[in-house]
Amino acid sequence: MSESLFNIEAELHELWVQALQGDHASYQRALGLMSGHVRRFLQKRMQSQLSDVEDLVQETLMAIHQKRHTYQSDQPLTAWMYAIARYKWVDHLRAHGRREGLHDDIDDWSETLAVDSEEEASDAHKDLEVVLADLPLRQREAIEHTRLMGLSITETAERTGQSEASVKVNIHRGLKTLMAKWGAKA
Amino acid sequence: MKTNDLIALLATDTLQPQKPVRQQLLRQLLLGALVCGVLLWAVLGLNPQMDQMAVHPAFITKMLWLTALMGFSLYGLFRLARPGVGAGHTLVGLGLALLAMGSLGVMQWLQADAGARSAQWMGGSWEVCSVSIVGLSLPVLGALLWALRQLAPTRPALTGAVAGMLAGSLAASIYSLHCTETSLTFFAVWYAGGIALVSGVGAVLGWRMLRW
Repeated sequence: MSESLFNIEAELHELWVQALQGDHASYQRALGLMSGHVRRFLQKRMQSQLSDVEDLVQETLMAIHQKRHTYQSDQPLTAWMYAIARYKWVDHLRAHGRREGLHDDIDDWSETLAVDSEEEASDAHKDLEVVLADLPLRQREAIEHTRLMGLSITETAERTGQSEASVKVNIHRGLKTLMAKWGAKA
Repeated sequence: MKTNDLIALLATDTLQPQKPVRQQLLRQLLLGALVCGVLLWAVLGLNPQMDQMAVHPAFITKMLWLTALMGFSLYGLFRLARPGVGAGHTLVGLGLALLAMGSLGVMQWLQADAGARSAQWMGGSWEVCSVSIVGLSLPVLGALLWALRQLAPTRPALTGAVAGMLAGSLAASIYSLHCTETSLTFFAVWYAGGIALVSGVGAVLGWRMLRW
């Protein structure tokens, strides 16, 4: 047991013994201290869902209160308290983790993602032009007509004077080049 | 709600905390055993030759084995019902007890004459033995799970399995007042089988019911 955990245990245990004798003020102080320890315990483990921490702190405190008859003096009070916090945390992961573990709240990224000004939109368009400019003319035409303007293969062939087969081949080759050059950075 | 408000609210809660773990589990165990005993007496009846059976070496061996199973599983429940306390030696103890009876059963079966072997393990009551043990154990298992719901097991499936082991071995002990078998092979197959079945049911029920 590290020195700090030893101190935490000593402080909490004394309050807890007084609380069990019916001292409401000690009980309130003990719960207050526990809420701090539980909060730090959960914050460390829920970096990506910090907004849920306080809810879980409160659930843990309720469980500590409702299950206080399961504490026996043959074990450290901190072990009992952290076991309840861990149980509530695992329970939370089971209920929400499967979906929300993979879930990044889009609000957190709104500043990075938003393309709401004319300027940014035209920047994006310029980026695309720069990327496509690297390609040979025929490949660029094929991709621009089909992927950006939304034309069919036949229409693209008519407008560019390529055969349909070479339009298909040029799209394929062009995209492959782009993927090789830019794909890894995406 | 602010956490500090919640703490203030909890601190003024005047409800007494519930009874300690041992007391709750033992009370429910006693209640379950009582129902189980009445069921045996009313439905199956006692073995009329109980006075001779009580001193039979096979009966005594069986009761020692069942006592060991009950002891280890009760020890386990006392621990598993509390957060931050591991299962301890529960699984080792239960495993050794089952292994001991399994070995005795196999040894007795190997020693029997080829013609007597099927009687050795099927006895005269194999159809009803496991089923009766499972049936008798259900009130005990129900009572134990009810008690555990008031407590705080952090490993619900394992806790349910151990509760099932306790219910099964208690039911088997009570069923022994009816049973007339004296073959260890029979006990190793049908008693242990019935108890294992109850343990499995307990694991499933525990996993579903013991969340808090």
